[in-house]
Amino acid sequence: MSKARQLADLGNVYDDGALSNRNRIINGDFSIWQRGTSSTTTGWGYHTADRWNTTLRDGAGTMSQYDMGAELRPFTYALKTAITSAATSSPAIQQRIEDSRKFKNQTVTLSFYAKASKNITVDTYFNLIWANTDNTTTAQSNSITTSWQKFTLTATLPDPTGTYNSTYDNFICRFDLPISDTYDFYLTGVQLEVGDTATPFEHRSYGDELARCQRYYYKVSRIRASARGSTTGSNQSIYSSSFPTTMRVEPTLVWDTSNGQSGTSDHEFYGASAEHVNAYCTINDTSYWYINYGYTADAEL
Amino acid sequence: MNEMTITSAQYLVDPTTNEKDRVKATIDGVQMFVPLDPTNRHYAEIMRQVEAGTLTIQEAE
Repeated sequence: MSKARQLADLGNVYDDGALSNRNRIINGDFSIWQRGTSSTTTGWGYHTADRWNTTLRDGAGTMSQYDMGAELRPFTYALKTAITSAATSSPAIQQRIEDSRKFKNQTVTLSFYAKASKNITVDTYFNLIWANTDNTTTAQSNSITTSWQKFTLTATLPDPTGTYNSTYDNFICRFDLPISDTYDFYLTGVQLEVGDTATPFEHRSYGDELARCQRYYYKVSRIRASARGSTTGSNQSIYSSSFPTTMRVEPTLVWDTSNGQSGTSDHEFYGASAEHVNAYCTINDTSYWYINYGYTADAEL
Repeated sequence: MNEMTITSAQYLVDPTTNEKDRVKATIDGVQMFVPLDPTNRHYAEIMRQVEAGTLTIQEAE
């Protein structure tokens, strides 16, 4: 790309109002994997890389972290989708972005890097949810080859009538993968910008990206609570903590019991909010008890 | 659309206020503590299934 072209693109971005924080996609470079780095779960859900909502539909395979090695530096990871048993409806990868008011009637540009184990076609879509109604727009078919390529899609989004619904209305960028075939598909560097220009991928620090992800999902590997000589009883407070960032909404909480406990039972959460969590349990052993549980907090869209 | 299989649901009471605080539910085989917040996707799905008549939330013990 020529310097003149780069300067012209920079001018366009300035006109569109964003020289920093341009990328509305979170974890577009697949650097954050709080849930784990591999999953064979087929249904829709958040299974591996933070913020990415995926499904294998009725096919089978694995979604996993792909180490980029020397490929496409400075990207470190990609999302690898290995379809080993063909699906009859499209396996999909999507990200839901909060608050469709920020996108309604706007021109947006999606850019991403992709390759595959063989030549395949991947379709990209935008879904503007407004008044709890899906306004799908602009399918683009992208010819993916065995080499990394950058793809872009610019579209002006719909301007539907009706009233914004804060519970349901968000904006979705979606990738639909081929049916009736087996393949490996690799995706990284996903960027969504307001405006008509695809600028270079905005690399953010690990800490910055993790904090953005923690608004939607937060994982604590282990709390440590213990005591000697305490009395027995139910509803004993064992843990109280603030989340590192305010979560999108009050989260769903799940214990991770893998690190064990002794002398306690009936572990439950209460009085939580988008900022804070409390937990209590029943103490059964007066001589010594401990809890090494971890937990997750899920406020995803 | 996130598909969820919900096999049990029961209200929990906050012991400090004695008011319903959340739902303890088994979703996709995992025990979850779900706030009574319609903008939480798990609670939204619980209420969708309740309204469809396919799920009942048991009262707190």
